[in-house]
Amino acid sequence: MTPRRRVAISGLGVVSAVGFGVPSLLSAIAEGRCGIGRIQGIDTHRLTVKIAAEVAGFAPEAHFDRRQLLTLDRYAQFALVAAREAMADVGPVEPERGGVVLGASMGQLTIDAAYFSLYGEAASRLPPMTVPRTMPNAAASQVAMAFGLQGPCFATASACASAAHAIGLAGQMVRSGMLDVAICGGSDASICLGYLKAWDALRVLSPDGCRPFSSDRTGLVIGEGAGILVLEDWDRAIARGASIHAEFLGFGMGADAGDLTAPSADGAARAMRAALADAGRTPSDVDYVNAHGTATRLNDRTESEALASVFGNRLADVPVSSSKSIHGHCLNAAGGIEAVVTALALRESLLPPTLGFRVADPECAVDCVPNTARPAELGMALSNSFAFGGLNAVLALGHA
Amino acid sequence: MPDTNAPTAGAPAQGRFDDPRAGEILDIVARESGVERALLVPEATLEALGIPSLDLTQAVFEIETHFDVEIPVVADRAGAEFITIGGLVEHVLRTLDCKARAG
Repeated sequence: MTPRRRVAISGLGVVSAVGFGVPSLLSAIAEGRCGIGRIQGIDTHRLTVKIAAEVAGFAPEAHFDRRQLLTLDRYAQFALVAAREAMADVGPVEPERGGVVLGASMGQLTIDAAYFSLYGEAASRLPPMTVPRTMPNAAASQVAMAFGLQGPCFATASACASAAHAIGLAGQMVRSGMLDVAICGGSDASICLGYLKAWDALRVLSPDGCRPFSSDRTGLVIGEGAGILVLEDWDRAIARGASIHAEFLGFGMGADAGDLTAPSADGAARAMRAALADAGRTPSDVDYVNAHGTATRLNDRTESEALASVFGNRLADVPVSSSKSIHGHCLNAAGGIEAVVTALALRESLLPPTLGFRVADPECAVDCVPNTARPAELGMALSNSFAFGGLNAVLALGHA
Repeated sequence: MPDTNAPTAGAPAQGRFDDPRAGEILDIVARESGVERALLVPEATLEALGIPSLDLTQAVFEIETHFDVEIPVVADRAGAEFITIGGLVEHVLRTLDCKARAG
């Protein structure tokens, strides 16, 4: 068996509704600032739900030239901006020793605009960049091109767990020696009429805000953005004097093989146990869990049940918060942004709050760090991602 | 059948480049490819200019929009007319002339 190398998280980058760059996300966590508001970017008169966690004030032309932009859906733009931040201090990477694994998004805004012009305006042709912009690997390919990385590059498709799967696989590749440096995570930009109408139909969107674990929670709030991590061979990172934000310790994944949309506590618990086993740790080592915490009735109740099963009597002593209450549910980017949040929690010794919490729910008997961030020394943490399709992915991260 | 005004392949008559529409075509190619306008001479090949196929596809799309015309890809000469700048201009002008004749 190949010896396992330690894996450093040596770069972080983020775009979210609370701003551009890691400092803006960190300040939002520390101050309890929420990025959710009335949708400004599109006409909402045909939508039942009119709130989202939108990235405001993004000027693509400030980041890309006109010709580049033709090939970039908004989701790939977010990925590139976050990847540049994450790679800022990494320096040159031997091309074949660097790879990219990102959660698969779909270029929803490009699809929406193309179908509107085709069906709505009877256009006779579509822009030639429609396919290259909408393909689910577009952002991964664009990031590989931007940094000249010629190792493995692909996109993982597991709905709202996509970015967590991406990070987990990238971590395994660096750990095994296949790669020295991996850019991983996810990005998503899906706030358009077509996709929001489809979500509307599922009746899981909240009309009034994201309140995870709160008894009066009313559903999830869709967000957009990107969360990118650079995973690097630990010795390489040390040798170049990198500042290491946190350590990638392990990854667990599995499928409920049950219901297409209803989550399973057993499946979630299995993935958490698998991540701990992979990290060589036990539940008693865990100091914080960044929950999937969508704020739907069903998710939060089921996730709490899974946490109770893993942590037993210790559950009350393990803070569990949902940062989706800050940056919204960023779908294919969610696991990436939340892994950044988890790494920051470890680095800053600061428990991210669950915003919007008002009323305790007996079915969610967790310490959700209500409304205010809390200082705490953290040795290790889990980041949970549970997706439609019954797909579960849990990352185990440690203090560097 | 080649018509009497057609330039020989690979060496388009300079006369076609004096057509005001040729200037508009070249402006679009320059803008979409990022290649300096002055380098877009009739005999230059797209390959030598470093214009990738995706940029060319986008340029043809913009030319179609500009002239409100559909530029066909002739099956039995697939891609041949897009080897040189002159060939590209010639193909577009021919298409425009056909459209004008069709009224």
